[in-house]
Amino acid sequence: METVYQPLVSKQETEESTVKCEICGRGATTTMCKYHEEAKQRINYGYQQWVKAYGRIGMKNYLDKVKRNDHTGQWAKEVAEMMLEGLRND
Amino acid sequence: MPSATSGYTLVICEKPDAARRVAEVLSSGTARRSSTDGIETFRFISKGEDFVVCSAQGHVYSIADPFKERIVYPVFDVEWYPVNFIGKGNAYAANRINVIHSLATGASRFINACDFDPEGETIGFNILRYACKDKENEAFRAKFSTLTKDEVVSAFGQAKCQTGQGQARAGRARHTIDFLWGINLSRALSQAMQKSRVEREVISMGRVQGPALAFLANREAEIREFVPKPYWKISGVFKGKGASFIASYSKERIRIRTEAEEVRMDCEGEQGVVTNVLRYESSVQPPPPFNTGDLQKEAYRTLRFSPSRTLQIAEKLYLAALISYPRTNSQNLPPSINYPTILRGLGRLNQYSQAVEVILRGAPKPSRGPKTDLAHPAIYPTGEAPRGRLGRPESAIFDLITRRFLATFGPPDKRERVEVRLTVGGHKFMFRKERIVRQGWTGVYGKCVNPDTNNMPEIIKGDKFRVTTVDVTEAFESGPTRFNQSTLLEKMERENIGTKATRAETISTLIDRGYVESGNDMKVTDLGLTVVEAVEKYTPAILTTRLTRDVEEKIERVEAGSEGDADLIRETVRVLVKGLAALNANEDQIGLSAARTIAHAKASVLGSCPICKVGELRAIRSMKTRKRFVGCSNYRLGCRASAPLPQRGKIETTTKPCDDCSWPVVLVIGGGRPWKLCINPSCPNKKQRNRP
Repeated sequence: METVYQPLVSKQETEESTVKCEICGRGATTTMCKYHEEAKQRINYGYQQWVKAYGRIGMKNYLDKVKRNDHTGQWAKEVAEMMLEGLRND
Repeated sequence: MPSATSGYTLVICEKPDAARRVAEVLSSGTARRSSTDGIETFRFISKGEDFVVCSAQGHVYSIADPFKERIVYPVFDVEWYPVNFIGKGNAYAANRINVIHSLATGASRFINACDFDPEGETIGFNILRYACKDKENEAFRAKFSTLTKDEVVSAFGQAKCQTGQGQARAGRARHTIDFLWGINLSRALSQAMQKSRVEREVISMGRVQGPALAFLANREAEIREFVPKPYWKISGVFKGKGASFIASYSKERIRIRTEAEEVRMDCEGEQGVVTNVLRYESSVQPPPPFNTGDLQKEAYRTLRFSPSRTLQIAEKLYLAALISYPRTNSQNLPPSINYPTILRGLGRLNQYSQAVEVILRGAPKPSRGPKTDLAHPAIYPTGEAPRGRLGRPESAIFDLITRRFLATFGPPDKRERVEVRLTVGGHKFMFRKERIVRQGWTGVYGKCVNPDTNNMPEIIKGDKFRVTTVDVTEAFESGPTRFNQSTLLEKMERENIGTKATRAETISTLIDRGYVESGNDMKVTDLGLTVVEAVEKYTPAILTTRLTRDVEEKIERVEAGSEGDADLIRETVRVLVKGLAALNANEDQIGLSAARTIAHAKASVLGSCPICKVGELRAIRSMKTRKRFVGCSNYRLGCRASAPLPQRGKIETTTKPCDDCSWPVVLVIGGGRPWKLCINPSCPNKKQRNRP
């Protein structure tokens, strides 16, 4: 077979991300990795829908219910737990 | 081994079982068996012609890197080698190649009788080219779809010299491309991971494996990020005319709780009036006969057999001449297979005799599906009875194939659906039932779900029923479901990535590499997510289905002879080089992010934490003491659940938590017999046992 060779490009200078996700330790640009960040956005968006559905529900109660719900994804549960922890410390 | 006298015809089969069967059929049982270095050959005279039948054992030649020790990339100077040069476990190939080579020197005619598909063509082509010394262009080709006597005899009678070798060239091009992609991407990723001193045995990535893993990883992220929304379901119990039934509220999901409560208050205790009774008759046509993918999916659904296991069993049945060739795309059975003969053969088996009798009363005509295959028809039983007792798995697959085959000749099912609509104070309810009016093909193919055939009260428009209770149930939307082996196979088929012969193997590789947990649901591990993340970030093209699909389409064109194999290889290498350059330039970054997540992933998950109900309990090795123990992934956020673990033996997870305390139960393997252990040191069950 014909040998195909092409020199590789020189290594670019890479900027190492030193921030770690508070929850899982993955590389992050903010306090959380992209997965937990997405889960947080979903939790915040979900709150508006839960308020509409139940009429009235506090953030703490909401997070607690989300955390305990069997359908909630693992990363969303972890974020809910962290947010709850934040609320407890406030 | 026969002496190498000139004048005999050398027949090359793909597997020893096939060689045995071909020799038996062509010689009418008179073939003389001999063995050299454990390799069986058969010699006989048929119609005055001297035959020697030998076999490969799957692929005895494969693509490899000529410099075994090098771990550099990119590597493009690859070659075909006997597989015994490649791996220590492949020593069997050396004897086989030697025997074929020795037989080839005395042969005057060659017949390639390997399976008639790209893999079989590649196997036959390589043996004829390398072991028989460039006989690939003068060899005859015997093409058959079953190993029944009639078909094998007819295939050898009509064997022709092949031209073009399209399938073989396509098969060889696929092997070359897959090898180049696999070895280069795997080496690039492994080197990047090693930058961060991540201990991993194999980090692999392939042309088909990449997009398949990406499907799973994307779905996994959706599942893990999912936040459910609440909704309410309403149903009412209606009583009257000596019967009672449950009807659902016309709006399936109510998003606001107060709205649901209002419906309950308005309807409970009130009278409902039937406003309409609709009856629909439908005719459900029989399914098409099995192709490879359909068989694998159905075997997974009904028997929970993995696609690769199903294919292995089907191959055994094919070699025993009980079914036709199982690697096919076709969903059609041509009349040339002779339906009545097969049906009469099946009719001699007790369990099918009744169904066969019904089919043979008319003119049998099977249902058809849209998929076709030029090389082989759909999978069908040959009509031959098993010569011995089949094992349980073989028997189950044979039964599935036979029943599906019989079902294709069955009449459609006639079903009736009744829909009753009621109004209660302005609120609408609905009640549905379905029943089989006349059973057709489902009679023999009982694997399909039969509709509910419960009796229902005779209801007419204007009937009145009292609503005794109204239930308002709170529910939550469930997130996307994980792929299982069957649905992933279906997705790969739909996206046209991989082939009918390789998809099952790709799925097994994903599990073997630790990218996906084995089990019913294909849960992607953190390692799998990391690999996808790294490739997606720096060279996303490798994970796209478009690229893989393009290659598949071009391979099909090589098979048809409209495109050259060398051009195709050159073109795909060009794409690969770009991807490798990107990985190489970002090795440090990939290594760093992998180190973080793999360290996290290495703590293998044992089950969900029964203390905080958020985290997962994982087996962790202490950096300080090097001892292993159980800890919760939610440790950072305060969960202190922990437990000791046995320090010796392998620990495997079990799916069932402890009945007494809900902590995970693990299987400890090593030393004596494996034993189950609830990891909770304070499990009430243990305390009870330890009590004097």
